Amino acid sequence: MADPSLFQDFIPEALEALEEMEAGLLALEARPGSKQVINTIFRSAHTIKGSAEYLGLDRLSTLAHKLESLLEMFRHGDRTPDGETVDILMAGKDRMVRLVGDLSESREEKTPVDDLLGRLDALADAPAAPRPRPGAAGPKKPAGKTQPGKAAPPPEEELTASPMDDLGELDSLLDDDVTAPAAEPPAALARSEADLVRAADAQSVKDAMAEMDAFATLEEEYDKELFSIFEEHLSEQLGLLSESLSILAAGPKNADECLRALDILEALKSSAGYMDYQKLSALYDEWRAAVEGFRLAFPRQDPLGVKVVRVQAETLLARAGEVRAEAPGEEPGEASEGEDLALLVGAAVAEPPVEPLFPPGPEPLTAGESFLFEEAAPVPPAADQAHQGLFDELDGVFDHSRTSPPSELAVSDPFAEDLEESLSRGAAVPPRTPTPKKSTPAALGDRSQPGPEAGPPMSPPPASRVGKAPKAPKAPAVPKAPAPEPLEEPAAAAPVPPEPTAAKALEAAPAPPAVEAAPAPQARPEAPKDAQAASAPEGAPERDAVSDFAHDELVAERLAKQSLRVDAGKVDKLMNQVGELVVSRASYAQLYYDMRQFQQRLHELRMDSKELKWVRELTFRLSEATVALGRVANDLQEGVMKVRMLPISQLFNRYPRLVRDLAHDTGKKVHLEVRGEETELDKMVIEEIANPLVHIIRNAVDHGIETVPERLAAGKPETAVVKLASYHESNHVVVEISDDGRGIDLDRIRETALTKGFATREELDRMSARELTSLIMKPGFSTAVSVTRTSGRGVGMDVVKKNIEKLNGTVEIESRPGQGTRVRIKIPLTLAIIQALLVRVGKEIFTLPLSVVEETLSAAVPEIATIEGMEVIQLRDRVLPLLRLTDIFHIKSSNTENRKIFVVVVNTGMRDVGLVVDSLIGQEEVVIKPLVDYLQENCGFSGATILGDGRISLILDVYQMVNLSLARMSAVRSFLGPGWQAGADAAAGAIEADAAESDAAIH
Amino acid sequence: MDRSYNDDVMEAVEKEKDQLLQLVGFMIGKEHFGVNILMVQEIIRSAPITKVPNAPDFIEGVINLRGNIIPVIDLRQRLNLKKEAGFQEGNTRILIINVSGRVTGFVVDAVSKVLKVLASAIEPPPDIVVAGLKSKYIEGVCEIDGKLVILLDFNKILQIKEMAKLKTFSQEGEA
Repeated sequence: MADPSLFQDFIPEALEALEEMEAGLLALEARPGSKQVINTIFRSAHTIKGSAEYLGLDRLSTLAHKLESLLEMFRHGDRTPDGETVDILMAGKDRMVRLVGDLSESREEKTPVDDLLGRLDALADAPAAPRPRPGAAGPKKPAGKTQPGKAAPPPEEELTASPMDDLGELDSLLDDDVTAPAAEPPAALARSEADLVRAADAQSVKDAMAEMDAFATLEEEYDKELFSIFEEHLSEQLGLLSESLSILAAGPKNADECLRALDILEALKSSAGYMDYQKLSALYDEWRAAVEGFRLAFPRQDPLGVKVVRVQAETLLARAGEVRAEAPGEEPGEASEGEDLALLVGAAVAEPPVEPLFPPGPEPLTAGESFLFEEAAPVPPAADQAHQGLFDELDGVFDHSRTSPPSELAVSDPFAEDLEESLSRGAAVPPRTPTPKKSTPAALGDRSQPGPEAGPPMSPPPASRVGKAPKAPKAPAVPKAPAPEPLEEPAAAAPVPPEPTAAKALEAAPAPPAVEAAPAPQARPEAPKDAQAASAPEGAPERDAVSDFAHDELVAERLAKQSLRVDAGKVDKLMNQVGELVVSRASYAQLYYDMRQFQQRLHELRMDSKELKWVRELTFRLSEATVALGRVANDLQEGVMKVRMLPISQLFNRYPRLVRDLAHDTGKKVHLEVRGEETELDKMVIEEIANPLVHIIRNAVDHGIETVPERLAAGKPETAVVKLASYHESNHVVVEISDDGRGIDLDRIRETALTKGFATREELDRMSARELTSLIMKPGFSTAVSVTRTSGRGVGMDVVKKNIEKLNGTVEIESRPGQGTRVRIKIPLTLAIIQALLVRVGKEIFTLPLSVVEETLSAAVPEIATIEGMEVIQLRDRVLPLLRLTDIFHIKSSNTENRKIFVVVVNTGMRDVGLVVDSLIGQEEVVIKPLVDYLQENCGFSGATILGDGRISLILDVYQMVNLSLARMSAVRSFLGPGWQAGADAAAGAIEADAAESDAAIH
Repeated sequence: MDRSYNDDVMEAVEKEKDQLLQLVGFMIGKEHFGVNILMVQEIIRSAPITKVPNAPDFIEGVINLRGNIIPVIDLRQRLNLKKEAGFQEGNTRILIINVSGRVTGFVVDAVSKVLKVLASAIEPPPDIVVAGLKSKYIEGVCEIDGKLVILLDFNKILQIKEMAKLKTFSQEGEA
């Protein structure tokens, strides 16, 4: 059922999730105990699993599933993440990235995963033996016993409900089983419970939605209008239903309300019937049964079932809203809409866990649980213990909410077949609540809130998440924790839209059992009830207030996050058009200028002042119009450019992993500090600097940073800091990579330069520190004594330099021995439009990116000296080699004046070179247009631009051009000593390599 | 305009196997050439051509075609044809041809007229050299009004690999 058409959406989404996962893993390494982090990772893995399963990507989903299982163990505290497990998680993540890569390349999964799966399995099995962790588990033993028992049932239900139509399912069940017993009691329970219901949700609701979506995609056959009427009706009724249900769930038993809900359901069902949505009808039937059951079971008010219905209804409602919002604007692009819908379904179902106002039965539990964890993370042991009490209590509550089989069963049961048995036994066993009261009295007494929180399934609307907030401050050391939480949580959750849907649906049970199972519990323990009763009165209002607040915040967040995924091609086209506009603005300016001259001329001819006035007026109006056009064009240009801008965090987020791996490999301790990640940069530029940054960071960690003993000896902190910072500087973005390592050893550079023949001793003596450091950007220059896995081969900085220069950027290196190195990359904001200097050579006008221009000057011809066939001039305290563009381009000079030359001093990286031009025209903003590939390669041009008068001006690729001409001058290679020679040789080599490359590319 | 356009062309070519094919006829020297009219985007008289230094000889330069920068190839040089006596500068035209999505201008000596020919009348290129032209650039030949018209294969003419090679040769030569 792999549907390649959905890959397009899946791939970026999966990559996003993977990125998040990686960030999470890195954070996990830093704070192994953080449940919040684990949850984040878990969510990412889960997202991927869900979508992958939905798309029928077996390897991806299996791998994600195993990772999830492993994470599950962390989550339950059964295992603590250590180096090995994190490594394997990383490996898993990497493998998934590759799989996704496969997808984007060949539309199928190619990378094998079996080895990893094996390792994961081994890991998953391993803990089973040493699990009992005597010390830690001791006190919680009782809870532990109950717990696993509870964890087991969900799989059972799955089994019975979905007669394993999927072998993978079975597999996953088995896995669950292995995990579950290992799991620490409360969490596992909470999760299985929540998952169960959520899954039930997903399954049935999803079916219904899918049906609806199917209609949306088949719109051609169905009356659009009819559909929209249905949609409207659906939304309306669902709204009413959820309202009515929430009254039911919250308030005391209300027969009228029940009837009202049933009426609404009836209406819904009839409209679904009219539309022939069978699954939807079936879903309504289930709902009705639940409400009916609620009504009949009068004295015992158990709103759980109703709540489940309500969650589902609201999910469906949200979905309906989305469908409606999309439907009108959407062109018949049915296929794409279909895809969107599929993904949105995911979003809709995934929403509940994050949504604070969602008061559904089991949902809050997950949220609550994760909250507990999140809080627990930074809290000192004392608080932790308190939370533990909470968990236990939770556990108890759960026990009551569902009739559960005794624990031992599941614990000892690693096999699915046994599940049946356990189910039957479970049914037979009376729902005893084993320990909660015993293990948690303290927690209970201490705080009344835990009750409502722990028992959201039975407690009224206030969502767990919010319920948390008031409680948190009570925990001794928590104050810090809650603050960042609201921010962090949604942020983490936001990019994970298509969460549980498919995954849940597949993995866990279908709806009916869940709905039935949920309301079933009758015997309720006094403890939770008490807690509930106690807390409800005082806690409720406060919580509501907070919930509103939190909700607003969340909505704001969501609004802020609204974004479009647009085909890059469209934006490029738009950009092109804007470029045209900028060009025509320039031609209008030219027109105005011509007009002024015309006016001047008329004036000189002493034209009749009356007629002249007319001309003057026209000129004025033209100038007005030009200015107006310019303004609009500027705004538009800026706007479109902003569309292409992305925060550099996209890029920076990749590096923590790199640093981690490097530090790992080298045995150094490195902390990566990132600043200014919100700086925006053209997407293209971001892609282009990604690899250069990798090189630089590698250098920093590998060469720059000392080993731990060295650092200690130097009196530096053990952990080195690599800083990655980015900020704007006029029209450029600066990216700085600095470390606090040993700095660049200038003596070693001198040595290496000498031994490798980059320069002579005299030259080296003359060089400033900056010049010396810039030597390391020469090809083949490496001071590393030994070649490591990551660096030292002498390729790197020269490539960095070349790549950055391709972007019209510059690289600077600053280093203080013993204190560290700073590499400063300056790049233009965008690739499409640059500031440029126009120069005339012969009849042609050439464009030089201003970023490479150091200065312009005019020199008298007698100042030119010739050293071994190369012209040079003295520029202040240095000798500047001159290159005549007329010679390089074989153009006849138009410079009639023989006593003066114009020189543009350009920076080619290693050294400045003076380009001799016939005249300077001026500075202008130009739009870069690419040349055909066969013109762009090795010609010394990076593109072309259209001038105001419609002429084309070629944009010089100074670096390449200088190298080209140097290569040609190999005859005079002795000129500037070995340094130049090497440069020229390297350039020549590079050219050959380039040529070979382009040949290869063409093959 | 690019891929789909060409697909359309191919389809059209396919369909018209036995139908009339319309060719834009043009001349280089005394030879008559033809190119499927569907590939021809437009024909322009002349445009200011900006030379590209260091480019292969047969590349005349680039022109600004309504905001797009388009390379212009001197077809005579590209095909290594000799300049005939009696060549009139004033008749030269630039054929703007869409070659597999690469819009390229080709300078020809003159454009004659639209030729109609039955698709079945087009024969594969002979093994021998026609009009001093390597047969690999020829898609087919046909006879119209007693004259041999050569249908050029512009995809081969634009073969970049060869051009890149040519370029490196020319560079080496210069060096």
